[in-house]
Amino acid sequence: MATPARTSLGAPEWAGGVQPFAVTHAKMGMWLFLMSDSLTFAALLFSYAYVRNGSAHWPAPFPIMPSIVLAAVMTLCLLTSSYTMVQAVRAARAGATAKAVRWLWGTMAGGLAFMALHLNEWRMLWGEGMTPRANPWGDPMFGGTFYALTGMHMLHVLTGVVALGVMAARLARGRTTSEGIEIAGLYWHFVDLVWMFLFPLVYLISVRR
Amino acid sequence: MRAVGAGNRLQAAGLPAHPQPSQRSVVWVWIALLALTGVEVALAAAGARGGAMLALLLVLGVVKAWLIIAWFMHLRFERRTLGWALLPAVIVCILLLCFIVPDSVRLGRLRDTSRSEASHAAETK
Repeated sequence: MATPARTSLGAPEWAGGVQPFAVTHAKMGMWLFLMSDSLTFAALLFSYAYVRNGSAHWPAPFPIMPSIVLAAVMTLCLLTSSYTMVQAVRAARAGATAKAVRWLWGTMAGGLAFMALHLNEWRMLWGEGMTPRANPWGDPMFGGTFYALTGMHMLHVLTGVVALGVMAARLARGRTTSEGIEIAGLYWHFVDLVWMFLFPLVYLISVRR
Repeated sequence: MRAVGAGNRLQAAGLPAHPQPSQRSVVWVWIALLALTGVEVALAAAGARGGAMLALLLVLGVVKAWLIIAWFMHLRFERRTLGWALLPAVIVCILLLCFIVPDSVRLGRLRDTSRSEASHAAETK
């Protein structure tokens, strides 16, 4: 029979009493939060799928140009900000604080660019008559689900930008560890991950013909 | 000024800091994520629609999510027990949500039925 894997402290991984996951409580807490938050987004997406599937006239209002291209640029902003976040964690772990803070500013810039583009899109859609209760194209529920999904995500992006700003300031003053930056990074990557589902499910399957 | 080293709290807990992905692999993952997004946009621009398009987009979304979780969030470099403790529960919960999908299909069919009954009644008047 195979010998069970052992932790660095010598106890079997699943025996308890030691740390079978080899992460600190803070990081474990963030992972658990992200798992629960993923279910929040999953519930929202399934609600959207339910309403859409049961609707006879679900609108497809997004033309490739400019809507889909704009949403693709927003995706580029988020993916690039995730890349800069990885670099921030790497620099913090290497003890290069100034460099890590610069990468964090870059990450925040990506998040702010995403939000600016998104708010501009909201403004344009609202101008075309799309409110949470009505739209000129079809099922009135479209606006409600669109603003709920993208609004919830944008709230997460805003929270992430603020959190990264706080963490950058704390890191510059030596008040946090590189592990704190890594935990903040977990949250930021999660925001990016959620968009990897919102972009295709909200935009790409609602392309105007 | 230097950041407090990664290891301080981890070492106090008797935990070594996990290894990191190489710089090159991070760049490749970023490029792969952009390329997959490009594929998604190209499919939409080419006019792909329907169930097959939805399934393909979901598969691409899962692949992108895995790239982010494994390399950017470093789950691939953590102890395997962490992934086993976290991911299966979430996946099962999400799969359980699929149970409401057939009801949305039923809703659409009910609407079609009531509409055809209404038009039939109007014709017979």
